[in-house]
Amino acid sequence: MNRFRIFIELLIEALLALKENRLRSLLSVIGIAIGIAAVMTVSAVSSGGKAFVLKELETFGLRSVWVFRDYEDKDPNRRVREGSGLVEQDLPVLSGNCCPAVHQLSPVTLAENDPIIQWGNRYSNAAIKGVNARYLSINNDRLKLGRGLRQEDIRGRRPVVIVGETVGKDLFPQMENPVGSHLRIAGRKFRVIGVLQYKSRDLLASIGSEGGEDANNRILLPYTLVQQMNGNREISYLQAEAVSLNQAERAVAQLKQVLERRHRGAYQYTQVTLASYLKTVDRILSGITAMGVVAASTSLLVGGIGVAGIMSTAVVERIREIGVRMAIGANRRHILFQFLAEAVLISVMGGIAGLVIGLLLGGLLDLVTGFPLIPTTGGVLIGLIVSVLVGLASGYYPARRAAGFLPVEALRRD
Amino acid sequence: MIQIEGLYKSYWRSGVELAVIRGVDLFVAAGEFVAIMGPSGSGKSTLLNIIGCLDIADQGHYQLSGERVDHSIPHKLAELRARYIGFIFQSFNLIPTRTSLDNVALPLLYQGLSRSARKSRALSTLQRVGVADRSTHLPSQLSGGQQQRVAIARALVNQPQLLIADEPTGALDSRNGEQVMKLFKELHEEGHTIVMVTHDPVIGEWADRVVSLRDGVVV
Repeated sequence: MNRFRIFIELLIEALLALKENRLRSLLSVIGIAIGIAAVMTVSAVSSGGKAFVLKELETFGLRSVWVFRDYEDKDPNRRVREGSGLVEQDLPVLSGNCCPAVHQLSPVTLAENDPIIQWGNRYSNAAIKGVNARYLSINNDRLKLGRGLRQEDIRGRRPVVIVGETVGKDLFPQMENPVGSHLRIAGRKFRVIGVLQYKSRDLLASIGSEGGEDANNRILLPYTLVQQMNGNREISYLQAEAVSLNQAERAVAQLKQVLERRHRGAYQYTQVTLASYLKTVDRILSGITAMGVVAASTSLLVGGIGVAGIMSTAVVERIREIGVRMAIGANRRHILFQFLAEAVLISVMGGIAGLVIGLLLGGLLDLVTGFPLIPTTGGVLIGLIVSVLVGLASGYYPARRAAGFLPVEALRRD
Repeated sequence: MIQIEGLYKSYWRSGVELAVIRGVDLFVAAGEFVAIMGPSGSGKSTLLNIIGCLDIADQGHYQLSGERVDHSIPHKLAELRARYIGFIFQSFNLIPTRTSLDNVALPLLYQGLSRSARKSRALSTLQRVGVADRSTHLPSQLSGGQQQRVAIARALVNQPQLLIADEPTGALDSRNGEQVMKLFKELHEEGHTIVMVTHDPVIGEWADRVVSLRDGVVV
């Protein structure tokens, strides 16, 4: 109890000493604060960036895999094969029990000769995609209005479409709800049965990785109708949903195996999986974070060295005081603790200031750029722990020096 | 109170060994007022520092109040200082940024006394030495004589058995020096053991006994 009280009192002594050198203490605090703020900001940028990219990738359905013909499969010794290597007849097999890693699957058939999309004298340049009833769920699409495609629409080749927001605005600018209106594709009349919810892909669009497709400028219709318009029974590619993120590669392998067997090796297939994109994104962001943290840590290191310098100066300046304190009853541990406490107090005050600055900076950046910075509780905790450690590390040597003097030596100096 | 036998102490100055204390025996009884005198370089301050457990001897035996002083354990020395000794310095050595009251209360902090206990004891000790009215002043706002009184209060606040004073009047004019010696005399009469270093024979007069040192030996 007594000892505890002594250490509390020494902590107060340390605070008083910092107050006596207000400017110098403040400068050291700022040094640490900048370092902690930098580390905080970097880690918040990274976690914010991850969340941001993830949010956009989710608009494709995170478990999505795409399987299509590998057009570089042409064997120079063989006749060139035409076609996508995917046909209607493959579907019953692929949708059956062939592929346990596949949760659900949709054929995607694209219109071959850019059909004109119009209503009255208004035109749209939307991408036309023939899909089945599962597509919306696979692609993580939600409906703002109306309904999705049904099995009967597919089988009956019903002339119905689901449109993206942009399509609705282009063709029916006056209408709040285009469901029930009509549009023409290559002269044929279709009824709008649903409108897709808006999808934001600002970041992906800005880095041009969207595959040239505007998520909000799409028209979805039964793939059977697109086949009819194309005049064949081909499927452009498959989009499937794996049972889980880790199963994406397996789902692809299973689908490819079935296709190669069915076509007797006539075609080779390739794939894109979001899982692999996620891995890449994660790797890139982790790399950037690591570099950022190293850079930010350097400023923290400089701050720490600053504290060590200040404390060393303080020990030299107050050497006589140290001698007096020893003469009137302080032991080495008391002296060590007092100086260590000064360093840790500077560092922790810097740490708290740094966290506040980091949070403000993050909020400001979010406000200005719309890029979300996500400070994590873990990050805040680590920031505080690191600042304590920096204080201990930078204060240890000066404090040991202070405590190591023989009282007579300390008293003799001026 | 103090039993010293065969004490040796030397310093190394730029590669040359300088023997400062060369075989000193010293006995001081409890309640004695002893002045150690001698010309500068005679080793009197070094001897005083060793007695006060501020410095360590190379050789010799030292018993303080019946306890053997083991010079190899710094922590033990700190404990002995805290328990038995109050120090008074020539240049007062008050902490310049603290008030008289805080300076006097500081030794009690290391004893773990509560804030209020420290304050009341410091105040009554300031009263004892006659500068209670200066308790909220900073050292720079006090005269030399007042500063030394505050420093004496700080030495007394722990109620030590032994007072160690190194040229306590060295920085004071003769009038203030005499005042301080009067205070020493009173403290002595109250039962404190005092060991004081001085080179001033007039100040030495105040002690019961003078120990003369020359070239590191008692003469």
